[in-house]
Amino acid sequence: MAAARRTAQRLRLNGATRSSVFRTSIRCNSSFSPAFSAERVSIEQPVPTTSPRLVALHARVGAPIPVDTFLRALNDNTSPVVSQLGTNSHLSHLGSSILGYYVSEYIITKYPRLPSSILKAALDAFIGVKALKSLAREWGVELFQKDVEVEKQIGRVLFGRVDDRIVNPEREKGQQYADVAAATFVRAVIGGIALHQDRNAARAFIEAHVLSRKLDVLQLFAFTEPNRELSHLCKREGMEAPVSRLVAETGRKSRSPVFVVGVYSGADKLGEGQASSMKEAEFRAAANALKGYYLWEQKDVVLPSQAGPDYKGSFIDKGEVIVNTLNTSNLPLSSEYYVKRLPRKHQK
Amino acid sequence: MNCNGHITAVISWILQLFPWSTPVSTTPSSSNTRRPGGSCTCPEHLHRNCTQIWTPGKSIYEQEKSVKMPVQALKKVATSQNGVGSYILQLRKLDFGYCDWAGASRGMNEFLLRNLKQFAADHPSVEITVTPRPAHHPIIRGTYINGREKVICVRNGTPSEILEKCKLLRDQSGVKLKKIKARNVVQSTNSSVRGIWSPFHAGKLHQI
Repeated sequence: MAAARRTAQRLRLNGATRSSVFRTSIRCNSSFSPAFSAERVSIEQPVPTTSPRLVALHARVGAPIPVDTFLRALNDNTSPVVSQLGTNSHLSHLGSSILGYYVSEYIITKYPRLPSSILKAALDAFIGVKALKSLAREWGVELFQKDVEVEKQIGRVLFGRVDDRIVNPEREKGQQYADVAAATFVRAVIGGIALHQDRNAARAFIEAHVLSRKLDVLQLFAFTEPNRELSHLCKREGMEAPVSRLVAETGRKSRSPVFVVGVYSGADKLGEGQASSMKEAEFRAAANALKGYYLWEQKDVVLPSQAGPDYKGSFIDKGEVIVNTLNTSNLPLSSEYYVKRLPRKHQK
Repeated sequence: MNCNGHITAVISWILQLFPWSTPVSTTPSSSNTRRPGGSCTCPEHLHRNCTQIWTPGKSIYEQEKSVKMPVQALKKVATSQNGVGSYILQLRKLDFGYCDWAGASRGMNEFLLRNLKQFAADHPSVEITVTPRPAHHPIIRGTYINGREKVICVRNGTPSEILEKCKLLRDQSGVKLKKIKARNVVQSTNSSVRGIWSPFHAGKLHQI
């Protein structure tokens, strides 16, 4: 009994987990059983929360969490001291969901008509691995170095050697595990804020660090068939079919021609494009018309998470412009291709 | 929406050309019906804009990938605007080098004893280290978040002068000093508000 009490005194759990872990799992009225607590006992020496690098980083990031949790957030699953200092994977899972929620809420209410591929790219631009890695770098976070002792590296993102081909076969080309570790750290910080404070504090932190970044959504678009897409859009909206007309031109048959093409639906001009060939100008005009539609912005928007009692709901768009295309010019002409794919009874 | 009519017309055209093959079903593509045979017969790499009816065994993500929308997305990362939301002090670390013997280091030694503690307390986000540099002039080495370092030699400096140098390092951003030419004085990430003049939109006088 006394031994158990002494062991319990030596336990060093961080923050919110201190009270809840044991009391829910052990029903007896006496103190903790030695066998159970022996598993959870951490190292004898105090957790090194006084390292100057760690303390300075904690102050710089300004997250409203204690230094203990911050140190845990720096510890990846593969860290060499994970058994002593804890891992950031749970915090990271929570932080990842919170990030995803608040950032998608912001983008979707701000640009309700964005196509899904652009929306995904915009989300990636704010909270993808690359984005969070650059955010961590801007906080001055350093990464683990193999040749230096671990004790001297408290305050860096600690991770071990990982074969990325096995752990993450669907990773982006050129992505290192170090990037993923840095992104996990950022998510873990946000998860820590949500646990220690509340989701409003997490939201304020996300707004200050993530949503304050600049993304020109215009630059995410890459059109392949804007004319086709625009005509489907006009049909869906009940507008007249789009027609391209030459608005102005100069320099035809010279070294530097300029054609200005406008795409009209009836008498309304939807978009305009300028290029050195008529085809390209028409392409740009249709693309600009589509951008004008997709990038429609809701001004002074109230986010659902901050809705008051008189919240009337946000604008919800009809959805994407579905353009079913079957590019018949790419169909293979050899019969062999089709013979292989016949049902068995027709083969040979 | 008449896309189903369009695709049915195309499919019937294919079937006329290749009557022995049934690459796609003739049922409307909006209904999620199973295709006979259960697997798609168009390899992804041949048909860039091919539609696929839901095939058993494929995840929703894979199906979504195969319905290629004409508008594709480019990969970009949002750039930071330090100060718009939160402000991160760009100075990461200050390393003070002093010498016990050299006369030029007297002011630095006094600074370390008297002023450094207050300066460190005022700037909690700066990591401060003190390193002996025997038989050398005293220096302050500032390390910035962009990885660059700036070293200032404070030989024969008084404590107040050294404090001024610390503040100088604190106020810098770590980028290499460069001459700002007169034409680049206004720098912005936002495009021009009123647009750039174009002869094609200027009015009758300049119409080409």
